[in-house]
Amino acid sequence: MKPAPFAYHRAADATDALAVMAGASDAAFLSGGQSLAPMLNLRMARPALLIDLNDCAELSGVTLGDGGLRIGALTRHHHLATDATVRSRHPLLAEAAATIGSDAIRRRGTLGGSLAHADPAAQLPLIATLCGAVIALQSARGARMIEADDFFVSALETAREPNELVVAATFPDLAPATGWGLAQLCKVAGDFAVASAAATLALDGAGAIVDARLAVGAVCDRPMALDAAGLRGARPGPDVFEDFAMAAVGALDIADAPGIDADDRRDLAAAMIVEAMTRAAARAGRAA
Amino acid sequence: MKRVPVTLDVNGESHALSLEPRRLLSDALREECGLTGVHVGCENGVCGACTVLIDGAPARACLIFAVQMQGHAIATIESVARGGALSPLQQALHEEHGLQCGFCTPGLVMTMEAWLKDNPDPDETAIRAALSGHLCRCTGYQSIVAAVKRAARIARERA
Ligand SMILES: Cc1cc2nc3c(=O)[nH]c(=O)nc-3n(C[C@H](O)[C@H](O)[C@H](O)COP(=O)(O)OP(=O)(O)OC[C@H]3O[C@@H](n4cnc5c(N)ncnc54)[C@H](O)[C@@H]3O)c2cc1C
Ligand code: FES
Ligand code: FES
Repeated sequence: MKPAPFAYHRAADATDALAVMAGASDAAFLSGGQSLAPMLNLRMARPALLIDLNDCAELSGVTLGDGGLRIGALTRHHHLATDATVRSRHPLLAEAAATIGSDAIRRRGTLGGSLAHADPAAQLPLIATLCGAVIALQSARGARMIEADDFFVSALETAREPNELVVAATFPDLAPATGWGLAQLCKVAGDFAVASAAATLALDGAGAIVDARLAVGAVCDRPMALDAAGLRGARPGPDVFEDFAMAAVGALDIADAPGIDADDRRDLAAAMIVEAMTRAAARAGRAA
Repeated sequence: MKRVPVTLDVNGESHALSLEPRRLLSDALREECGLTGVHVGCENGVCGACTVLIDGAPARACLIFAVQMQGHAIATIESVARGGALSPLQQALHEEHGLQCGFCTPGLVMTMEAWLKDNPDPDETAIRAALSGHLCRCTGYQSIVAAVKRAARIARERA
């Protein structure tokens, strides 16, 4: 199908984009178009005006800031997957970006678009939730910062006001020697996951867990951070991981979905949690 | 809705057009520029048939509006055979029977032409991953994978 008619504005920079948004009644920002264009083609979205952000160079790029990587909203998935700074400072984020869709999708899709679109199975919202990324929003009226866990509300729904631009997200550094793991079950490589999980684990000198973070994607209506405080002091191993995973998915609100019932989704989510923790433990160094 | 002027730079030629903003790049290339090698399957980004290169990088033409492309260089399948000579990938697809109906072929050629530049000596796993963004209903992919391998070899020999 073809989109309904809309007017088009190619924003010169973020200030221009925000000024045009402030004066519009039914406008949408356009970044990579890799989620918005299908929705327009299917007429699931019919904004009167598209504000194209692709020329807003200041919205793109990776900077090392206080305690984290600040990533501009227009930074493409391909850049996250291949950039030397991201790969060394936040290898989990780079790996997650490398698994999104296929090359053509990653070349155009952006961090800001993925966060704003808020697909429950998407990789970058999952990693943002896991790591406690802070999302910077701006409108013509002012700026605010919001934690990922407060940003994602439900499927395709966020705390962003329609006139607010996602400017950047800051991903806190992983503590030294922290191991990380990503596990995704996809029917076909590059498809959205049926179930996914991400983990970070830090161990003390004796090999016991001192810090653990877990999040699951694709099985609830948004990425979910899990309470992993109970893992502190435990030794990483299959029994510990499985017990944790079973308890964690039992506490989640998981419903039947087309083609898969809630019990199967729970089992798959548990398997992904164990897999992500196993990978994280294998990568974790022991603190001196 | 009002039409807007846009100049498309396609395969080194400039096309001055007047288009509605909602006009998909895939449709503009086919209907305004006559480049019907750009195939349209799903208009959802999934099948890969419409893939073209924008400033050298693969992109789905069905997920871009033509008005966005002012100032960007687009390459379609029509630019790949130079002076009538097939590219190594096209030659290898021919020799390995890498196409049957040919519907998926232009898109996957564009993706793999760009990909082979960055991956001159790929293994089979990497080739399969790179092809995963393209649906082919005819070949079962084996012959396409074989063709990409052969194309890499031909290109290395020519270099
Ligand atoms: C075939 C295919 C497979 C895919 N597979 C995956 C996958 O496996 N995993 C995955 O995570 N994603 C996948 N995607 C989606 C892809 O990652 C998108 O790039 C992403 O979801 C949206 O980013 P975008 O830049 O394309 O945003 P757009 O499509 O341009 O915009 C998406 C939404 O966000 C809004 N928006 C965009 N930028 C901003 C901003 N800076 N501030 C505020 N609002 C903004 C838009 O108005 C729109 O509502 C796939 C897409 C396709 C077509
Ligand atoms: S027509 Fe563009 S990806 Fe299928
Ligand atoms: S050759 Fe027919 S779809 Fe691939």
